[in-house]
Order: sequence, then structure tokens, then C-alpha cells
Amino acid sequence: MKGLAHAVVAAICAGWWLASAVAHAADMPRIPHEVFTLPSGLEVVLVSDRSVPLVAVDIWYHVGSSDEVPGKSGFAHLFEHMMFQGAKHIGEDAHFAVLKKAGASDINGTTSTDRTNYHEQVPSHQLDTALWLESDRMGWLLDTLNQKSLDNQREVVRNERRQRHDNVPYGGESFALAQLLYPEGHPRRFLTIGRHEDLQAASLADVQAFFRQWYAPSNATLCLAGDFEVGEAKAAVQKWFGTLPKVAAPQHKPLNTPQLLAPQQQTLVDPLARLERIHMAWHSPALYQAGDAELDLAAAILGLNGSGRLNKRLVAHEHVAQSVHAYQVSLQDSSEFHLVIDLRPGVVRSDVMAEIDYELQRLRKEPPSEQELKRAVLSAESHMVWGLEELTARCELLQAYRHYLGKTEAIAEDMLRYRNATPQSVAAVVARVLDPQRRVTVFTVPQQSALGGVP
Amino acid sequence: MMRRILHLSQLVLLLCSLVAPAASAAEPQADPEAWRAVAPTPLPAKSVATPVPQVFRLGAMEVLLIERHDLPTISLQLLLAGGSAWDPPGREGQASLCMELLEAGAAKLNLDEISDKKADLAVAIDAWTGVEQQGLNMAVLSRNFLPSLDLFADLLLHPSLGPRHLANAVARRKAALLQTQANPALVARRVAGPVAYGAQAWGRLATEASLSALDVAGCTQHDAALSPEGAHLYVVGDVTRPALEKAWLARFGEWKTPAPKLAPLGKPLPPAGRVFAVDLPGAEQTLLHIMAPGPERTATDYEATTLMMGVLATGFTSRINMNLREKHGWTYGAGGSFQYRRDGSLLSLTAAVRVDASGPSVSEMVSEINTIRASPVTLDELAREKEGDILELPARWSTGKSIANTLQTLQYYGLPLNWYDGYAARVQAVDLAALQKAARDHLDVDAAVVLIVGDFKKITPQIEALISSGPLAGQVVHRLDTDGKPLPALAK
Repeated sequence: MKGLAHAVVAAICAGWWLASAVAHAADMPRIPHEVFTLPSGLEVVLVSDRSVPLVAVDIWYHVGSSDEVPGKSGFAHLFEHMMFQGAKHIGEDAHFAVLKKAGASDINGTTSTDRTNYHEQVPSHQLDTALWLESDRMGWLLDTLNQKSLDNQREVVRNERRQRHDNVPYGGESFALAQLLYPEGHPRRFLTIGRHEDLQAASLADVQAFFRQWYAPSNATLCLAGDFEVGEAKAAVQKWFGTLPKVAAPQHKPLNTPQLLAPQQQTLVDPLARLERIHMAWHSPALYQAGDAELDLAAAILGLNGSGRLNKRLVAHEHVAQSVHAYQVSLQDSSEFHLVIDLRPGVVRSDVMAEIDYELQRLRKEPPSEQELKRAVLSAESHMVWGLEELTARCELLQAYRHYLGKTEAIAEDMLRYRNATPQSVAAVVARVLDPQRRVTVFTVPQQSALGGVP
Repeated sequence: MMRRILHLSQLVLLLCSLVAPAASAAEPQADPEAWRAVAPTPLPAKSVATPVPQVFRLGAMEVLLIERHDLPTISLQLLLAGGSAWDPPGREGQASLCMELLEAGAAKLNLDEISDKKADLAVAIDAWTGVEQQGLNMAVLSRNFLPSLDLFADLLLHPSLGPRHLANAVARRKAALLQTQANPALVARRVAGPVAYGAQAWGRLATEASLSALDVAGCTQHDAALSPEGAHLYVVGDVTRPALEKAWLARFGEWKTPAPKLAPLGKPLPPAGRVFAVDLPGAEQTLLHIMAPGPERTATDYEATTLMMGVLATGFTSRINMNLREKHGWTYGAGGSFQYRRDGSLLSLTAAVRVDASGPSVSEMVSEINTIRASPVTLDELAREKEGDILELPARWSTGKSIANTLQTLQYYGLPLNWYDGYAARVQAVDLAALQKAARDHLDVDAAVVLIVGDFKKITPQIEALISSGPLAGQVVHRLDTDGKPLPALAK
């Protein structure tokens, strides 16, 4: 079986050694894999790589906080926590203890606006143990569900919100931006973490209904990557997931993201901030849709650490900014482009705003240089290659392709989006999307008393 | 508290429930999924050998090469003698600033040219500074290795420092410090140093005043002492030994700076007192650190100590996390470990807790320490930690990066590179008594200090309750500022 692993390696290696600016099929990293679907509708992706005796197990449920309804913000993530509380056959609170004893690492779940994932990496002889745990919570979560456990996890999640948002500098600005970007009733208005009052109101009936609506096998994709023989892995998946019932896959309501018609801004006084921050955002094209890759490239041209235009100007030359970050948050249905600048103390904000506006206008009007574009493309390619080392990361990449594009064979298509971009296409997308009339801006300012006072 | 059900007992219950009703008249419907209540029997574990790096010298420097050709990437980690421990008094932050400035200028390249070159090559070159080590890392696609190594060598061997760059870097650090001092989690981490170590190397902090004292002359002196003697180069990835030797010697052949003279660190000098607190108005959680001196990394009961800490504090299933998070809902996560240095360690238990649970969380953490000292852990806990630790070895050796990190850590403590040979057997040999002895020997409750960072308006009554009864009864609360300096006591 060593041969197969080497074949994988050779494919990736050869591709990258030959890489050049000209795109052709041999010039791509590959993740050889197999896909099949069980009668229940559960999709399965198998990536066999026998070089190390480990297997990554990574399940995506195709549900995220964008599927929440008004008044239930934060629920998809709270539900994710409940998935670790136990299930019928494994018992209560068994998940972490069983995996710890099995030598697992990298045990977690994450929730985004678009999907929820659960993953662990186990020594390969323990693959059945991981599948036992995952299949039980996919099929029998509700059997052990109880009020005490929900009350507990609601508190845990509220503490998570405090730790990530409420008790950190600038924690308020992402909520303020979301409320400027999304109208009342839009599921992205209160971020994935949600509002305290909505979390507080979550009930057992909500958990049961959410599980029944979204956690069907037909709404999930299981990926295994690592040390297994494909036939044996198929048999194991069949054993643990094969008797789960077939239920029709739930329907997602596509998000209706409004166009902004006029710029909006807001100023926040933050008791934990000491440096002024300018944070602007725009609605932008969805992940893998036309313009999405150009905005990744524009983000690099503006904000690549060191060489980005705004970094050079504001941080390296003029010393007016502490840091510059530009990034496209690529999401289902519609994305967001962000620009975040922390100011040095004593700098006049309007002066810096004028410089940012100047640089944005320049990129709208004039295509970037070939050299700048080449750097941005290389940065994307390099990021892709470094991301292939970990087994879980390979599953995550294939899972993303499946979720957003409906197919797992998509690395080449993904990479070509960057290689085929031109200076003109970048400028055109910047001009269309990063429109000054459709921008929201939040200024965070320190509390004056905090700045003047004795520490 | 631990509600984990033994697989064996599940099996027994299952058999009973299936067999007993058969005697009755009514035929119950058998659950076709009942077999799932039995945990699967894992296959035999595959054995994994400790990876053996290629070890050789390039001049005075030792190289550890982990050759991997599965991805077209190469990473270098160069570890150099020196670090913040040897910042001159009053110039705390010097080594860190000077290392950062290595990236800002070289003989023939200014800052913009360096930034552009890095972007052209998609190479990450990052300087870093620890207390007892400092270094320069590089990560690059293998096809850009040689030109990237040119840049790496130029930055290290020909630093070019202008006063303007230095002034800018200092101003940037002061702004960052200003922000750090308002961030509750970062304040707690920052002040923990002086509380645990006092003015000793591990407790010294860069402050507004010490940053103001930094100058070009200090960095020139710092950079001139960067030496290949005592340095270690960890290389992972798509490069062979001959190729690496040739590339390195062509650029570093003349690098012969003698080893710097570094004074020993001296003993920790923690301030008197057991309870320390920093007031941060507006904090929405309270940050807690419980700290005490711990054993050396080379202690013979290291395995027992680590397993004991697994039960008490390290990881999701530890007692402290299960108590504060899963039982009480006071936190998103709590726990810790012994943080080892070359000459010892610090027990460090931390949590960010709900404001109204600030006092009770301290009491519960202390109570968990006392419990594990007083009574043996369960056989279930012991088995979970032992088996888990042994079976996790393949993950430790799974990537070039994880191998390099492990080897680097071993060398830092002066342990042999084959230290993990026999590790499984050493773990297997730990029994309940050995684990409890480690708890009694190394969890020094009498020397433990508590650091509380939060909004005094909200938590003062809880702090007062903590020192009026229980394990901290009679203690005085020492108020500190965000530099860890004492403030006058609160008026009663």
C-alpha cells in the first residue's frame, strides 16, 4: 500500500515543481480520493494516505447560522455544543473521554454561517471508535438530551461569547458592522455567536426540532483521510452509518442580501480599546462566484503584510497606522470584503481616511501592475500548498468544494480562478464591488477617561 | 462527576435486558440497533518508531534535518543563544526589538525592497524572541529556496539599522503596549510573570520607560553577538543534506562570531503574598491564574506528573474543566499544565470566568488540587490518561513540523533525541500510587498564588469572601497595576 501513498505524493510534487504562470492540467496539486453515497443519502469522501498510522474523521452538516430564524440567533452553534453531550448508545458525556483514551487529537466542532463541522484525528486502528461516536450522535442524539445539559451548554456558549467578543478590545465592532450590513430579520445580523437573550431563550424543543430538520444523513458529508485500505473503510462506514434512515434532505432558503444604496457609518466607544480603529466592509460576491478570487487578490494587493499598498503607505512610510488588514470573507450566497486599520495614537482619523479613499480609488481606476498581481497569485498558491500537509486540512478542502460547488474534484478550477485573473479583471471587480456608495464603516474610539487616566 | 459508562458494564446491562424479558409471555420487539451499545474493539495498534533526524554540523552550528518530499515546501528554524533574559537592566524589550529589526534592513536592501522580495518569493521570514532563546524562521516553496536563503542570510549577517526605523518600531511597540494594557486576557498573562517570578528573567516586562531607553547602539551590540556557536538549525521538508550543506556554506561560510557570554538566570524572586489583583474597569469576565513552583522537566517522575496533570487540568476531560465548564457553566474552558523552563517549571492553571463566579471558581480550582493530593484518582481516569498518552504518539510524529517541534523541545531541556524510545513503557509503568505521589510532591498548594484580573466594582465582595474563609483565609489582597507594580492597598 506504500505505492499508493507515493503516487499521491508524486502527483502533488510534480505539479508544483512544474508550476508556472501558464495554467495547464499537469500543473496542479491533487488530492486523489473516492466519493460514494449511502442509501440514506450520506455522502462519503475517502482520501487514502498510508504514510502515517492516523485517520482524520471530518463530518460537515450542511447547516449553519444562516439557516437560523429570527429570535433564535446563535442556535446553530449552541446546537453544535449539544452534539458533544452524549447520544443513546455511547452514553452521556462520553465523546471526549472515549476519544482521549483512544489517543485522538484535534477533537472539535465549528459552526460558521454556512455549515457545521465535527472532526477528530485518531490512530488508524481506532477508526471504528470514531465512527461509532459519530454515527451515534447522527442517529440518536435526542435520546439522552436533557434540560440540565442544555442549561449548562447555554452558559458555556455565553461564556464563549464573552471570551471571544464581549471581553476583548474591539469586540463590539463586528456586531455593529453586521447590523449595518444586514437588515432586521436577516440571519447574519447577530453573527454566528448570536445574542445573549436569544441564547437564553433556547429550549429543548428547539434542539429537537433543529436536529430533525437539519441533521439528517442526507444533509451531511463524511470525509476520512489517512491510513486505511479503501475497501475496509467503505465496509466500516457501511457498518456504522448504513442503517440510518433515509430522510429527504432539507431545503435551504437562499439568503436575500440587500444592496446598500448609500454609505453608512457609526462610531463606537469601546472601554477596552486604546487605539482608534477604522473598519470598513462591503457586500461582495459569494465564495467561488465571479469576482470572489479577484477580491482575494485585491486584498493582497492592498494589505499583504509588508508589500501591500496600504501597508507600505500607512505603516512603513508614514507611520500613521499600527496595522492594516484587508480580506475577503468568502461565504455562501454573498460574501463580505473587509478593511481594518488601527491608528497610531494622536493621528487624525480623517487624514487617514482620505489616504485610504485615495488608494481604493486608484485601484478602481488603474489596473495593478503585473508584478503586484503575480505576488498576489503566488500568495494564494503558496497558501494552498502549505494547507495540504495535515490530513484534516485535506478533508476540509474537499468538504468546502462539495459544499459550495457540489463536487469534490475542484482544485484545478479553484487555482485557475487566480491564475486566470488579469490586472484589468481585478480593477473591474474592485470598481464594481468596493463602491464608496455601498460601504459601511465603523469607527471604534477609546473612552476618553481611559486615555487620560492613570493605568 | 465523571459519568462515563464502562463499556463492560454496558455490555452486561444490554445482555440482561435482552435475556430477561424472553421469559415473560409478551414478546418485546428487539432493538435492531442494540449492538451499538458495545464500544467497538479496536484493531491492534500499529507500532511507530521514533523518527531519527539527520544530525550534522555546519561550522559551529548543529543541524537537524527531517527530509520530507511529500510536499514542495521547506521550513527552517534557526535557534540562537540569547533572549530577553539578557536585556540590560532598564532596557527590557531590547532583544525582541532588535530581532524584529533584523527584518527591516540589510546591506543592499531597504525595508520596501525586503518586503517586495519576500512577496515575490512568497517566503515567510519571521524573527522571534523568547526568554532563553531567540531566532529566525523561514518557510518557503522549495522552488524558491535558494533566493530566499540569500535574503535570510543577508538579513541575519548584514543588519542595517537606521535611527528612523528604530524610532518607528519603538513607537509601534508603545502603541501595542497601550492596547495590551486594556485587554483583560493579555493583562493577566503579562502580570502573571512578575507575580510568579518577580524581577528574575521570566518576570521582567517591557514597559513604556524601558522601550524609551532602546537605541541603535543597543541593537548593534545585540546583533554583533549573534553566533553560530550553540545555535541549532531545524530543517524540515523537500531538501537533501548535500543540497542544504552547499546552500548554507555558500552563504554562511564566513559566519564565525564567537559565542556570547551569557550569565546564568538566577532563582525566581516572587514577591511576598498569595493573592494579587488587577482592576480593569469594564471587564466582562474575570481572568484567573493559579501558579506555584513545579518540578524540573528532567525529573524521573515526569510521566507520572504529566498523567496526573491530565486528570487534574490538561485537556477537555480534566477535572478542572469538567467542574468549572461542564458542571457549573462558569467558563468556556479551564485548566493548565506545568510550564517548563530549563531550570524548573511553573504550575499554571487559568480560566476566564463569569463575573459572578470569580470567587467560587478559585475555590473550586484549589479544591480540585487538594482532592487529587488527598485521594487516588479512579482506575478509569488512570487508564484514560495512560492509553491516550501512548496512543497519541503517532500524532506527535505525523508531520515534519510536529517532529521538529518535539525534537527542539527535547534539546531545549537537554534531553536526548531518542527520549521517546521507551516512553510507552515508562507511561505504562505508572500506577495509582505513583500518580498520587506526583500530586503530593509537585502540587505545592502552600506556595500557590492567585492572580485575579477583573472589574473591582463587580468582584470585590467575592475577593473579600475568598480571604475571609477557606484555603486563602487571612491573606492580604495585593493590588497591582498593569505592569505588575504594587499599588496602595484598598481602604477598608
